[in-house]
Amino acid sequence: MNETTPQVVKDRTLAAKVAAGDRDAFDLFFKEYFPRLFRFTLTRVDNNVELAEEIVQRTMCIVVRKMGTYRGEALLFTWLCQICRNETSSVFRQRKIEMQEDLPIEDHPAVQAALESAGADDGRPDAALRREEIANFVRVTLQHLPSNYAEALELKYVQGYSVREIASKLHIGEKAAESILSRSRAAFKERFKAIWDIEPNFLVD
Amino acid sequence: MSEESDKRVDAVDDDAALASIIKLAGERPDIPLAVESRVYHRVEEEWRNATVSQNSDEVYRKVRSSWRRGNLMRWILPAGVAATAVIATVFMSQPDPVAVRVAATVSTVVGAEQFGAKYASGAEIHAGDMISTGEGEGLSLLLARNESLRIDENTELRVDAADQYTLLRGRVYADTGQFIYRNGGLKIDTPLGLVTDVGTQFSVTARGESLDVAVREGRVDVQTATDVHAARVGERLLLAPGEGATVTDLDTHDDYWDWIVDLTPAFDLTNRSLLDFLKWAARETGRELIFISDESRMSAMRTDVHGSVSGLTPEEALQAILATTTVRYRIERDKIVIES
Repeated sequence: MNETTPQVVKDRTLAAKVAAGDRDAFDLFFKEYFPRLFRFTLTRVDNNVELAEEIVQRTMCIVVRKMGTYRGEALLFTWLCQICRNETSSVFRQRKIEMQEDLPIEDHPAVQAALESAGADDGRPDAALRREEIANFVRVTLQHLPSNYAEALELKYVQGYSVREIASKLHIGEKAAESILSRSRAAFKERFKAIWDIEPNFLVD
Repeated sequence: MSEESDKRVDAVDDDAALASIIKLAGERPDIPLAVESRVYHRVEEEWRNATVSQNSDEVYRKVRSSWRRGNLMRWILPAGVAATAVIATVFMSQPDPVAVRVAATVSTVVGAEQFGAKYASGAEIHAGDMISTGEGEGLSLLLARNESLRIDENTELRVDAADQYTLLRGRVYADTGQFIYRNGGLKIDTPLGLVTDVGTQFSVTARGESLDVAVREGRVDVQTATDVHAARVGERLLLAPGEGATVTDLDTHDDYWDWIVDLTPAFDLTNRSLLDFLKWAARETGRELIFISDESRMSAMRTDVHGSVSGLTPEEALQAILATTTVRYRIERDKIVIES
């Protein structure tokens, strides 16, 4: 990514502060990226919490050492994910765990198949399997959103909270909750399109 | 209002479609607090080793050296820059002089109504301004980079630039943060010498011809006409003409620092975690923040705070905010210990 988006500018600033020894920036970095990276990793290690812990720890240790080299060619989270994939392979090799293929979920054959058939009425009987495949698209997309956006979408659409309840849970006003939901929705659609190259609505039968 | 909010949110054309696919994802898996705290502990250790030299004097020399290089460039570059500037000014309009000269904004004001009217909260302070406080008056300024300067009663301070002040008489307290790798330090000039910092909390008192510098965190240098002195955390440096320098110990939470409490800039709780708040309270009271476990630190990081602590002292704010949580704490001599 060569274009300078507001997120890239924020990422560069954060990385520079962390690299320079700013403790508040380090805490902010950890608070924002640890949960996203951990969930990203869990999906790649069959939900093995112990393995995910080791991989995420190794990844973040590498990242904080290299933070001064981050130039914003990709989003900070994308950079973290690349390093995380390498560390996943490395941990699997060291532990002699058989790894089918070191593929990100978005490249997994089952997900690719779902992408190819997305939106098409192909008469497949395995509706449950297809729902799970679509659910994987959504989970991956949510991992690529800022934590507060993913949380707002989950509160609204998965847990079914009202705007007032979301405002209360996030300790913000109703107007601010409306605004964050609007931005989260836009960000979700944008990320979804960027990752999968299809509109999310295309998946709805 | 609430139903209207829901209607507005749900009225978006593709809301139903989005709702149906996001719902499929289900709730995101919870991350065990113990896992998060273990990873934090190890990554934080790695980060500290990667960014902070074990030898603080070496760090200090590097920072000073980079500042000196910056100063040198100010002399080397002007020849070329000046020529360019002469040509450029022919074609370019002058910048807005007011925007350039804003050095700080007023944060907290203590004193009679008349003094408050002169220095309203949020008022701009410009280079060239002279600030005078009388008996029972004081104010705090917010500087660039989140730094702050508190001005005690019976003080006269001239604003020379955003990062340079001249203390003619009285006492000031500067908090320039923990971010030591910044471009240049805050300079407080006095009749007896120039005081500069490397990211710290310190006070400077000019009384007659004597100079009194107390350091609560970090380190400051004092340059007189003939010598350079250093004062480190927990030290108080006294200079008087013909008497040389005297250094004594001063606790970071000593009563000496009480005068700054009423001038503490309000801590804005918007979008801040309990950890942010606790760090602020510890810093303002000159104490170290200790968590008895990594889990308690993680828990503070995950907890958002809300409300307002405006008008409360840091210790009162600590009591008020923690009363709304399940967190237990105790204040020891030089520590705030978070127990759960």
